[in-house]
Amino acid sequence: MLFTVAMLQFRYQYHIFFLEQLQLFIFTKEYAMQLLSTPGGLVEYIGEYLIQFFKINYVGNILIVILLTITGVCIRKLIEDKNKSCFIFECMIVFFLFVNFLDINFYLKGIIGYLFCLIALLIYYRIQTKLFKIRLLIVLLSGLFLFWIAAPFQTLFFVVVCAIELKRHGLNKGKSLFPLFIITICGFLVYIFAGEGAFRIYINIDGVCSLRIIPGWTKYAAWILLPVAILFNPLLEQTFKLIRKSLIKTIIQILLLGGIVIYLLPKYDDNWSLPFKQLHYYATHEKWDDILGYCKEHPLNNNYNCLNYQNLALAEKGILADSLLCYTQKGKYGLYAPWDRIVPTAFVLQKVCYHYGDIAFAQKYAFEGNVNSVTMGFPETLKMLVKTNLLQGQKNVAAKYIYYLQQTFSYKKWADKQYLYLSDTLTMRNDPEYKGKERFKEKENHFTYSNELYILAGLDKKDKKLRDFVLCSLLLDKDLPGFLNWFDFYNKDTSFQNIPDLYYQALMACAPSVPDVLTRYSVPENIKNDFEMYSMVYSSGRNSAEKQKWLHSQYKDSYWYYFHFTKIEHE
Amino acid sequence: MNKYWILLVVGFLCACNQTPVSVLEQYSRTFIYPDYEKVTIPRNIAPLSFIINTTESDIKTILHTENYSISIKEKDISISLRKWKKLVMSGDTIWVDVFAKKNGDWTQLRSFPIFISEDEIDPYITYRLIAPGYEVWNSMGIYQRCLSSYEETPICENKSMTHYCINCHTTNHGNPEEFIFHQRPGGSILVKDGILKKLNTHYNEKVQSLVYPSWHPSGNYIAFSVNKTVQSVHSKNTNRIEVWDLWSDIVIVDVRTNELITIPTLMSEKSFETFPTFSPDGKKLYFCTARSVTLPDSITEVKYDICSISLDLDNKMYSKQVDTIIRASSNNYSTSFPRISPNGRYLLYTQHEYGNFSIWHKEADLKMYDLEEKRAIDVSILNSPETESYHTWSSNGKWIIFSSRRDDGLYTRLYLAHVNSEGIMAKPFLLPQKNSTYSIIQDKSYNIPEFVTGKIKNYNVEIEKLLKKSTKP
Repeated sequence: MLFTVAMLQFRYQYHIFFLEQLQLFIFTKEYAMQLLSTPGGLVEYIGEYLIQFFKINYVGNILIVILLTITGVCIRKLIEDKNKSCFIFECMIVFFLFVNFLDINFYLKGIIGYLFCLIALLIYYRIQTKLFKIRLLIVLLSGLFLFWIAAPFQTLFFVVVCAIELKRHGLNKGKSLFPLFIITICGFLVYIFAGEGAFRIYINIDGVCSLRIIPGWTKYAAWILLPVAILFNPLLEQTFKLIRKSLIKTIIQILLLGGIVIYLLPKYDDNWSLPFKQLHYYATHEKWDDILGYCKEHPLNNNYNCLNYQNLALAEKGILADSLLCYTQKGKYGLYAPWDRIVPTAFVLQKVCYHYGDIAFAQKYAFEGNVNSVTMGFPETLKMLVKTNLLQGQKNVAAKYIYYLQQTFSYKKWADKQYLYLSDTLTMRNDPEYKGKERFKEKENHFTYSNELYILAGLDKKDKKLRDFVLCSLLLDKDLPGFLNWFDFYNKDTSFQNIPDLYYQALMACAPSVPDVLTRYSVPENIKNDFEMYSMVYSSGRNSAEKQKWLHSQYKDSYWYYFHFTKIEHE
Repeated sequence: MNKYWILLVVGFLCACNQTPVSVLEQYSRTFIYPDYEKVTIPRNIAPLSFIINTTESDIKTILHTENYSISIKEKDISISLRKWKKLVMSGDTIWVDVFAKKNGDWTQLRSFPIFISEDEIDPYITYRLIAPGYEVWNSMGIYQRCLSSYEETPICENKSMTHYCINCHTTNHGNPEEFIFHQRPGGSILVKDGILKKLNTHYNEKVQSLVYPSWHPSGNYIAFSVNKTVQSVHSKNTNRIEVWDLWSDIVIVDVRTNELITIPTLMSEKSFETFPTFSPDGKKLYFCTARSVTLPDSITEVKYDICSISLDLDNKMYSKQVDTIIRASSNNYSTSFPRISPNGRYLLYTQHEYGNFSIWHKEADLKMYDLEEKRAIDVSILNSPETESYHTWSSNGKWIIFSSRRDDGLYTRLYLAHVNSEGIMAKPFLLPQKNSTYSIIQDKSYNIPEFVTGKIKNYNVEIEKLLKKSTKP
């Protein structure tokens, strides 16, 4: 248990935090009725109820460990025979449930429902001395009850009951197969009369996963292993009897389990998504320094959403242009990811747009992200919808979203504060979350496009954030002519001072093709000298690899190095 | 952090139900929400639930006719179906008297009537529930709702199957045995005489996806619009989104043979034609048309008029003459959704400043025109400062249902209104829900409301199979 807690806290804590971000649990009678009035509603309600507390450090870890431990204990009680030395099956089942937990497309109700199923099975296990008719009646009633509170786990229940019957009573003139027969018939009838969709939700394990995703084989593992464990654990116990020393038995099982964990966990723990989850956590808590610290330590790959968070952190700290190339960059999409209609991108883009004052698109991404929720929304997108609607004067709409957030455990306080802004715009303007964001109202209405930030930048020369965004975007895209045009546009404004070295380096990069850059702009001597040295080293290299090697130590943070050696998407 | 732990323990132990801070104050300036004061309702409507919008704590409400009364000592008025039925059957007018206890005495705060009409209303309506969003959609469905109860059942939902969009559902003049809807990807699904089939609508490069259907009363033809639709977002306009057609034409499909009927007048290169609607006798086709302009630059110059042509589809005869019924463009307006009353006398339509996607225009209002007397009829009672848009007539022409965003400016809700024989509209009322604040909490918009004369059979399984077959690669 302690090991699992430690592992969760060390490696997966941000995954746990992220799970809380993917739902909104509303504490109202109506929401409860909505969930509880459908099959499987109770486990879904419990799952969502628990996840809302995952926002608090350690809570998610402890809850999951408790759930999995209880699950393991229940499985052990279900399958144990006289010899208690074998624990491999319950550990494997718990392991696969844990792996499922690490997948955001597998809902927590999948573990809670499993536990309910085990409890029902344990109760059933205690009545094996009763007559078959009584056992069957109890199976049917339990199955119905499980269907209502924990669909689709009645399927697993019937299958495992069949296994228990076979184990305890043999074939029994075929009667032991009745439960399997019943659930097969039910499944068939549901498929025929209610459709494939209903079958997937209420009979198949798909019901505990996102319906857009077809579950991988690990989702089925816990379901398959349980009846297998019931039937084959005695065989395993018999095999283990050959080994006299219990210590050796334990070591063998631990080694086997360890091998499985070491082999499977890295493959199926969604580790590729962990950086994004961690950065998302920092971004929602505005821990910009932590984002930058993480990005320095773990240079990002081509994940644009992560790069967006990194560059947003730079922008929030006002050092985008100054420190742009001190961090991994992969083209302009690292500043503003292409919209691919998925939730993580919505989370990121809404923040990016809001930061730069594109309120219309911040609202669009927040809304479109929110639409993807299977609950009432996501906390971050709903908060953005509150803010953007308040800024746009859409108070009734903002009031609706504020109402949702007021019914939550974690966001009520924030929502209560926003509620006051419905009638007190002056105080709202002084709130740091809103300060300076009303500038979009000063600009003329126009249709927004994907290059909206460029349009906004063109309408307001003095906006430093937008200026840096545009210039950095062009540089990351290696669009030197574009950069030169915009630089010229800004240079005419007296507020364009304290020009970062990055821009001077870019000007020097333009110089070979546009020589009058050197006369038009006063590039500092040290930049000129650096460029001269860089060019000398670059031209003396025999091939690209050699050039890169020679230039890396001194010039890796320069624009010239980026221009020559960083591959961007459309190159 | 400590605070969080304490709250966590309390949360676990008490499972405290936090009392919501009321947003009613923001939503409603009227004495009751929804505003059912002085509305006209049919006898067979579901009970009206509403909440008394007052700071007084001790409230008593008496709903009474000459022969029956109900007393409720709560602000949140919710009446059982049994008592409601007794109430509406016991008189022509329900009086609602609201009292507050002040200094030990009951003082009347307000008294208002709810009128009961003898005119029946169709028993069901259909609509789509969808988030009022941009381009991304998720769960949606087409539902039918029983008007005499709160029962809402799905006709087709996308949550249980792989991701697809369903839209443009319409019945043949309320006939539950004949309806059509569009699925994307996939095509149009037609239900007729109990048989489901997929309409092959890929006629040519241009004519592939058919929308805005209108049934010919014979049930043999459906007029569609073929559109290339584009969406954009305003940077600071409260209208939020703008949608326009780069081009649009009207076609008619013979559903018996799948033959595509094209009429040159309805496919002009120089104009946009859309929103076809047949007259009740099927002899005329009404539609909206606008001169084509460069878009999006000239979007505010797109002004749709309502026109009609005469046709005899069985004999394949079409008039070349186009009659302009509503020349909104001359008044610098645009129109959409022309709908003719069942008796053929009235034309109800939506008017707005420009364009055709009226749901995103706050200035969009309902208008009505008397086709016999050739005059406009004042229906301002139906309108609000927010959007009023899609509307339909009941089968007897005595009721209309329409979409309105008057509650909050974004989420579309359904309103019903009575029409008397002179075309005078009564005050509209919000579709009743079991909970008075349901419409505030509901996070979906109601889209394309239509009356249906009976319950639509559950074709979910057949639809699912057909859709699955149609989306297979």
